[in-house]
Order: sequence, then structure tokens, then C-alpha cells
Amino acid sequence: MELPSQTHVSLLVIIRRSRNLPSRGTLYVRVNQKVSPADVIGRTTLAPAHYLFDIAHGLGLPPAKADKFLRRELDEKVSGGDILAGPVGWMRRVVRAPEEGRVVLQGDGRLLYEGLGEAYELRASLPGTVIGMDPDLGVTIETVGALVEGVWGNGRQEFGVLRVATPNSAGLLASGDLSIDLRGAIAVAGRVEDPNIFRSLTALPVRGVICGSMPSALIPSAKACEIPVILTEGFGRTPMNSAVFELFSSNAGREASLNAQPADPWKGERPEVIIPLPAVGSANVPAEAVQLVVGRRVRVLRAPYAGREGSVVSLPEGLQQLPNGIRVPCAEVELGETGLVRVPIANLDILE
Amino acid sequence: MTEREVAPSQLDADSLLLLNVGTSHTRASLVDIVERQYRMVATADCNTTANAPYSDIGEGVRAALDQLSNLVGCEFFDETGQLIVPSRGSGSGVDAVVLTLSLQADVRVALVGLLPDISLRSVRKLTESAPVRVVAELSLGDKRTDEGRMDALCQAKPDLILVAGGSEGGASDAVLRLMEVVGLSIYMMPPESRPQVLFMGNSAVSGKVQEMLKSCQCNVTVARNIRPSLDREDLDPGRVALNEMTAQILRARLGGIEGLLSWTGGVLTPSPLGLGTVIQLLGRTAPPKKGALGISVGSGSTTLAAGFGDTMELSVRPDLNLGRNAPRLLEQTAWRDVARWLPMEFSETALNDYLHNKTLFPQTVPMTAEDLRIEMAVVRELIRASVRAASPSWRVPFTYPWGGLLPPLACLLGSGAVFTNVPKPGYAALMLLDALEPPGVTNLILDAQNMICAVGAAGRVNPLAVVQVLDSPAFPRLATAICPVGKSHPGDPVLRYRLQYADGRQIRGDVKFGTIDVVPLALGQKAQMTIQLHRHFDLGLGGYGQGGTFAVEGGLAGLIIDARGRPLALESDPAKNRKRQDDWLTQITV
Repeated sequence: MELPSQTHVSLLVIIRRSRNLPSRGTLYVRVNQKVSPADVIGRTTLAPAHYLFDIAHGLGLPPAKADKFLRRELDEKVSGGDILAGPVGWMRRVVRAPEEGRVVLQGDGRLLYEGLGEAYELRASLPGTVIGMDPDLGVTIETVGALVEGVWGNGRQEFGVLRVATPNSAGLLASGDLSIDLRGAIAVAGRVEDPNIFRSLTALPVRGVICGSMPSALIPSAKACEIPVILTEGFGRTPMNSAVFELFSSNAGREASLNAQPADPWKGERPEVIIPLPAVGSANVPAEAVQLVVGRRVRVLRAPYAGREGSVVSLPEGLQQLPNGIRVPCAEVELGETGLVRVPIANLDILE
Repeated sequence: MTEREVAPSQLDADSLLLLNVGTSHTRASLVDIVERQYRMVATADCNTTANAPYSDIGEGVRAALDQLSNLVGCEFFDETGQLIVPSRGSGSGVDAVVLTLSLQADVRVALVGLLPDISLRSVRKLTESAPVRVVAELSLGDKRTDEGRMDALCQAKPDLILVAGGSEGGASDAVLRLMEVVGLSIYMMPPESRPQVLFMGNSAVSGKVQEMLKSCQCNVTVARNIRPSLDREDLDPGRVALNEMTAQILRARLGGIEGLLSWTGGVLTPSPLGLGTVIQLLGRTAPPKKGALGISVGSGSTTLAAGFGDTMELSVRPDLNLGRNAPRLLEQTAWRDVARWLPMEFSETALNDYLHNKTLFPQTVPMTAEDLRIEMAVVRELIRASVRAASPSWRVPFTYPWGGLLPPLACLLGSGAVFTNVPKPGYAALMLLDALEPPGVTNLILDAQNMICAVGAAGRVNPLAVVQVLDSPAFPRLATAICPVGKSHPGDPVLRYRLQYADGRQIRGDVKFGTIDVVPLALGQKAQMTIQLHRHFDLGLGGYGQGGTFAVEGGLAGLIIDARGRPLALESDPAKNRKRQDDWLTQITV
């Protein structure tokens, strides 16, 4: 039994997203508080340096004696230059803290000290309401809007106005085609191929790019650029699927939140675009783990119909033979102008 | 493999349910007595449901069991939804359950050793036998301060720290000093993410190490010294401990596993050990001066097990797979090496795009002939890269004359959907022959249900069932492959053969260099093969030019005479080589 993968391309849904600090820290919001994308909702420190002091040696004393000159309690916060041990003797020998931090362990003439580390700020990155909290670690924010999941992202986040930069879902966005309208906006394009495209977009500047596909050779430049980049289809020359392109086109001019986080199947995280919308009518949380049934909207993930969207017409029993001779479970899918085709269920992605 | 008759009295007639949870697929097989032999009665599969939104591997297992229940007409669950163990007289339920885990979940390991060229090298080698990723290395020779080592360890956030150092009766103070750094690093980590430690160093200090790390609430496992002396390496106990600890880490991460473990009495076997068990068994029973090799290629890893006499070698390469790490193949292999197996022109860009798309959609199957050939080319190079790295350290207890080639193999087993999801068996045989270039006479075996790991793991419950299932249609012979070692020019004679069937019929033929000849011999059909060999070639029958008569058995792809020479030399002209690739596929699937 094959369970096809699923991608959310939803016009209006309730979206709940966790925003977590990479390690425990301080949160600045509370439940029911409204947040904006740029709000700093928490802070922590990363990669603190560690210092192992031989206090006995530093003070010129035997270990047991040196312990009597320890000046700080365990876990006590200390400023850079503060005395950790001493003074001893007429030279008034001391051991000082190398930077702001805390004492982790001390005794037997030794002291383990942890520096403060690099500051890290957690932003809300989407507008909404805080509906849940994990103390010192993260929050859950809820919003209502359109949701489009991508397949690849360069790890960055941004918020801006959507602008469609190519005339259709197969349109190629090149450095020479960039219009001034894209300045400060999130550009939507069928695909990109130009090796300089990300440099040009960053220079304009745009706030983010969403495209169907790009050559994998552009991965290093996409990862290096400061704006979020999201692919909806994959690598190569696959156009953006029509359902996604239409959703972006119909929401052009609206603000959108781009979270180009790398896909993590374990956590169910994918790069995504959220377009906050007024909650008109009844929005629901997106359906998960939907079954493949006749009538279901799907897209094809692999050649020869990669990126094409259609609907399931039938699900033949048993194994079906593919053009290359392999026999696998298949679905018959109506792909618009191409007509009815037989596609392995493993190669289908349910659009929900 | 030959059928083996066993008297009913010898049979412990327990049914076995084999479960294997892989990266993409979860499979369930029922093993039971059929005509006085254990047989794999049926196998069902479903997508693995470890990932969101399911996050519960039990769902995939239950779906596979529902399918299996429909296939065999037997109920596995009672009215309350509990698995029926042991089986009931009505035929419902099973007597024992075996669970193997082959899914990849990025287990991060840090390596700690005293000397970079001795203990650290051994422990690095050990990691190649389990599905883990090395995220940090520490040794006294790395020229960092203790603080630097602590920072490196803390920032690496390992799940598991592997420690080696100090031969038996050797260094102990230095080991303890290094362990103090490890202990302090662990102390600095948040309690909920503290790693486990596997200590494989000087046994004289193992007690002190356990004592030292106890205060960090760190779980320390001690295995036999991986480097008992400077000139001796003992990887086997560490390999088992590492795989078991890796499985325990996965156990903690996987939703739904506890329910499955309640069926197995808490026993969970890492799939590499399952494969290793089977290959060790086949290696032990191989004729003198021959071994056994098993290769499993999946979207989680490429696993290689080799057995020669009593030795077993295991190599697990999560960095070489058909899934999320597919592009990393090109760190080990030039793109032209992949493209050389293709019958069409293919650019580096296209190959890169192909491999990156595999990372996004590892579960997909090739639909076009061209896509299938690309996948087959990638598989050949995944296997070659894996063998290239692993084979130099194999302990082969016999000598053989063919340098640069694999040792002679009695059997070569291929496992994975890449071998079973093919239009004809010849495709799978060609991948194995191209990737491994077995020399001499080798039986190619197919793991038709992709359950070899679970079958190996079943050895602890019912060894007889394992032996008999390996002789069953679940592991059909793909072909007997006759592969002369040597070189010549295309069209030159390599050998003349006469195949005498059991009914007295004979076939004779001449095989020319650069071709593959498939002699019709059906699956299970036995015959006598007589070969006259050209003086430039060797089949392991006594030297170059020495032929002989020996028994052969047919397979799904017949009897294959691979007269392309060993080492396999491809055409240097790309156009000619592309045509040659098509010719070989046509010849082997005729």
C-alpha cells in the first residue's frame, strides 16, 4: 500500500506554527498576545566558550588551600574581569573572569567557567496570536490565511508583499528582467536559471523569491544569499505547478511570510509561504494524512510529467506496467491537455 | 540455493512474523511451515509512517499486517486489537515476532581516542558498521586545548560518544585525563540531550570511567577493547554494541515503537546486524577459498556485508544512499563514472539535478526507460564507492590470484527495491555484475521480498527457519554467473562451453570477448557445465587457460557467461561505450 506524500496548497486555513529557541532562553510574549512578523519573541545564547582554570596553579597554592579562595557561587553570573578566586599573598594574586558568563563547577583547585556565547533572537516571523507556550523554549502562533508548502528552502525567513514576476508558471526570471516593482517585495517566478539571479535580486533589493525550480548548481548561491529562497517543485527546469502559481497570482499585492526552513520529514517541517488573510467564513486546520481517492487533486513528482497537476480518475487494482516495464501500483490521472496518464502512486503528491 | 529436506520431527513448528521498518517502506512477512519446510508465506508492505504527520511507525506496521492478513487469510489481531501471540489452533496469530529497524534518523556520534593514527582510526572504522554520522573527533594529538575540545564536543551535540584508547596494560592516566574532558563536556550539556557513551578502551580503567561519568547522569556502556594491542584491532564486540546503542537511540525517537517491542519481548535488531548474520552464515558454508557478499541499497543507506570463513565484515554508509544523501555520491565518485553506465548522453548538470531531486522525493520510482537507466547507473556507483572504501580492510583468510578484484565469492546477494523493481531479472543481475565485477563462478541471489535483514535477525528465535527460508523462493537465484578473469580484444575467443542438462540434452557455444551470453537454464534447473578456457583467462579452476566441468543451477536470469573480462574495461570512446551499454542490457535480458 502506497501512501503518497502531501503538500498543502490551501486558500484559507487556520495555521499553527511553533517558533522555538535553539536552546533554553527567555521568552518575551504570553498566551493570547498578538504578534507581528518582526517581533522579537525570545532570546538565548549560542555556542558559549568554556574555560577550565587551574586555580591552584594560578594562585600558587595547593588545591585544597586554593578552594578557600574561590569567590563565586555555582551558577553565579559574573562580568568579564570580575575576580573568580583570590587575592592571595603580598602580590594579591587573583584569577579573573575572561568574559561575561557563569561558574559551572569548582573545587579541587579547579574551576569550570562558561562564557555568555553569541546572542540569538527569535522572531515571530508571521502575524498572529500566541496560543501556547513551552516555558523558556518556544511558543505556538496561530493565524488564518493561505498556505503553500515548498520542497526546498535556503534556511532564511522574511515578510513582504507578493509580486508575480513572470507572466506564467513556466516563465523564466533572469537578471535582466527585474523590474523596479519588485523592490521590497517577494518575487514569484516560474523558474530561475541565471547564475547571477540571486545577487541581482539581493541588490535590488527584493525580500524573497519563490520559484518552481532552479538548477541544483545554484544551491550554493541560493544558500549564500541573504533573502529567503523557496522552490515549490524541485531542481532542474520544472515549471511551478499551476495551482500554486494561480494562488500566488490571486494574492499578488498581499503581504506574505516566507519561512525557507529546510524540509525535515521527522518534524513535518517544510519551507512554506503563509499569506495572512481576514478570517472570512469558517477556516479549518489543514487536513493531514489524507487518503488517495478518485477525484483527489495531485501533482506528479517525476519525469515525464514532473510538476504537472491533475486529478485522480481511477485507482486500478494490483500492479500496473509502466512504459519502462516496471510493475508498480498506479493511479490514472487526468493531466489537462496531456489527457489521461498512468502514474505510479509513489510519484504522486496530494495537493490539499 | 539447494532445497534441504528436513524430517518433520526436527521442525520446531513455530510461525514467525518478520517486521522490517525501513526509511521508505515497512514490510511484514509471515514465515511458516509449508510442506515440511519453513517458507516465507507472504510479504506485504506499506510506506513507513515514522515521519509527520503520522509520527508513529506502528501505523505503517499495522497497515502492512492488514494487507498480510488479507493475503494469507489469517487474523493477526484479536477483538481488542492486540496481536495474537502465540498462535491459536484456529490458525490466527503468530508464535514469535522479529523486528528490525533500517530507517535512518541521523544518529550523531563523536569519536574520542588517544592517538589519531591508532585508537581514533579504529573507532572511525567502527562507525562504518552502523548507520551513524560522525560530528566531532577528539584526541590527544589534535593540538587543541582541553577547553577547545570541550567546546567542540558541546557544539557537535552528539547522541553518542565512542571512546577508545589505551591498549590492555597500556596507557591509563592519559585515558582518564581525556575522559575528564568528555565528562565535563557532557556535564555542560542540557540534561535532556546528554549523549550516551560507549567505552572501548583499556579495560583497566573502564570502572573508573563509569564512576567518573556517573555524576553526569550519563549512560556508559563498556565493550571489549577495540585496540587490545598496538598491532591488533578487535572491532566485532564494539560493532554489536554500537549497532545496539544506535537502535536504542532510534527507539527513543520513534513514535509507536514501544507497542511493537511489546510483541518482541523488547528485542530490536538493527538491520545491518541481520544482514551480517546471514552473510556470515553463507560465508561459513561457502566452499573453501570462497566467501559471500551481501549488498543492500536503499533510500537510507548502502550496507555491505562480507563473510569469509568465520570473519564477518560490515559497512554501513548512510552517506551513500538513494534518498536524502544522494548528491553525496559525487563526493566519492566523478560524475563521468556514473554517466559511463548510461546508453545516452547525460550532462553533469542533469545528474546533479537528478540526485538532488532524489533527496526531495526518495520514494519515487523511475517511470521512463531513461530514468530507470539513470537510477541503475547511480546504484552501480553507490555500490562501487561502498566496496572501494570497505574492501581494503577485509580479513580474507585465504589467498587468491586476482589483485584489484574482489575475492572469489560463492554467492552474491542483492537486496533493495532497486533490484526487485526492475522490468526483468537481467537488469538486477547486470547491476550486480557491473558494480562488483565478481571473478570466477558466483551465484547471484536476489532478496525478492527485501526481508534479508529480518530473516537474519530471526536467527535468535529460530535458526532452522533462517536456513530453510534462505533456501526458499523468497531468495531465488538470479543466475549462476561465470566470469573469466583476463583481458583480450573485442571479438576474440574467451571460452567454449558445453552444457549438459539433466535430461541428456546438450548446448554448445563459443563466447567472445566483450559480450554477455545467457544460456537458457531455468530457475532451479540443474546441469553440468564443461568449459574450455582460452589461455588469457582464468576462472579459478586451476589457473589461466584451465577449464573444467562443474555443476550449475539456473536462475531467474538463466546462466550468465560474462565475457567482458576482469577487471571490466569500458570503451574509452563515449559513443561506442553508450552503444555497448545498450548491447549488454539486451544480451543479458534476452
